[in-house]
Amino acid sequence: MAVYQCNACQGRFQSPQGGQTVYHECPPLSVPELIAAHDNGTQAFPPGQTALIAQAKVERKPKPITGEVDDGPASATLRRLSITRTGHVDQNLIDGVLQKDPTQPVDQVSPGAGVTQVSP
Amino acid sequence: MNGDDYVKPPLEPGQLDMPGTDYAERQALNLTREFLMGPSLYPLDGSERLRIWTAQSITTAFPVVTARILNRAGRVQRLVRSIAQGAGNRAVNSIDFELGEGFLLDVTIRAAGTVIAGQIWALAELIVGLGGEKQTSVTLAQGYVTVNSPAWGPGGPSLGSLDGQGAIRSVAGTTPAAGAELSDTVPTGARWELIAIVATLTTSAVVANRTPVLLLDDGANVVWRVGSAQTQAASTTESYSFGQGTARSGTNPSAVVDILPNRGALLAGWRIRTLTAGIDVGDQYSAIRYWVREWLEL
Repeated sequence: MAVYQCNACQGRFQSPQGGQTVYHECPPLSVPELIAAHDNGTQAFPPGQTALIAQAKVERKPKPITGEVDDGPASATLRRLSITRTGHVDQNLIDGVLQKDPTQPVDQVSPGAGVTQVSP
Repeated sequence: MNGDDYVKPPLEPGQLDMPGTDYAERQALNLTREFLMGPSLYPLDGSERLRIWTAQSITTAFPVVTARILNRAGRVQRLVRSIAQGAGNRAVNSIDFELGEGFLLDVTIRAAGTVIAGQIWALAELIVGLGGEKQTSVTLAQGYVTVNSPAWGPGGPSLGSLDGQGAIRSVAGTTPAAGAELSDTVPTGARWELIAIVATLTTSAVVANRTPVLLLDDGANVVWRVGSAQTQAASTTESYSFGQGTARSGTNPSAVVDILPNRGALLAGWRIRTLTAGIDVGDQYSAIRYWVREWLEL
């Protein structure tokens, strides 16, 4: 059972499983990933999202004594936005091509950054 | 000439006796009109073909079709064909078989290989016409097939791809990178009923309470949201179970149980994912497994 790693989200998945192919799709960016992508400049965000990310970063600053991190309203809003990452991979097949020539490859929704096989 | 004078020619080996279907016999019996007592409901004049539609979610098995035709000479001909193993991507494919003239007696489709119910679906129909003028004449059989559970017709049960118990699957979910949320998508061509989910969350040392929330969405809009019954502190590992018919429970510190909608069906492209309040870049979801019932959505 081969294991693959997604080049975009770094998620790992097994395929096939019980003779069935697994079609990977990247998860939306979590709040820590959004902050990191913004700080590292690896992904551009529209102004509204940039403001939310900046606010979430302030909210998540550790408190001086306890070191505790708050997860405030900006983080909650970002979590609901379901923001995809650069190179987003969605290996699922495009609807509407199911009955085309079976000898031809079926298109993926979004090959994106692709996946890499990491174990046979 | 009357019927008493008629001497029926001897049958050849393998030829069936079919009174009234031979021209000379009809004349001898003074059957002035065409007398057709067909041995099946489906006479074939040479322009019909047998079309088999298949879809499968696996690559470990393939459909085999068997048909019997009574030809013009009164002999039973058997057609046995293996249908090339599909890519297992749930796409619908078709293949046509020439039948010749005579009568279609029956058609049976079963699977060869490793397969359980709900993984290979087949439909047999008669089509009329050649080239681009083909039209469906009649549906003969349809349903999920396994090695010992065929679809057959005429007369067999006709089951659509969403009928029946579906295929029970245990699917290992994608292990996300540290700091990322759990998320998996129902594949194209499938319909899932989510029976249960288990996942483990290991939190980093960064002090904050995490509260995993399980979401089911249609690819964009949330259709189900249930939050964990308890929070998870830093530097801990907890197992989360979500299941149909369960009651929320956060009393066991290492096994949080929560609920899923009963018989909730997810279409292709719908997602199972988490939104974790307080998630840290070092938090890790792992050991994700889905217990699902899958149908082919054709």
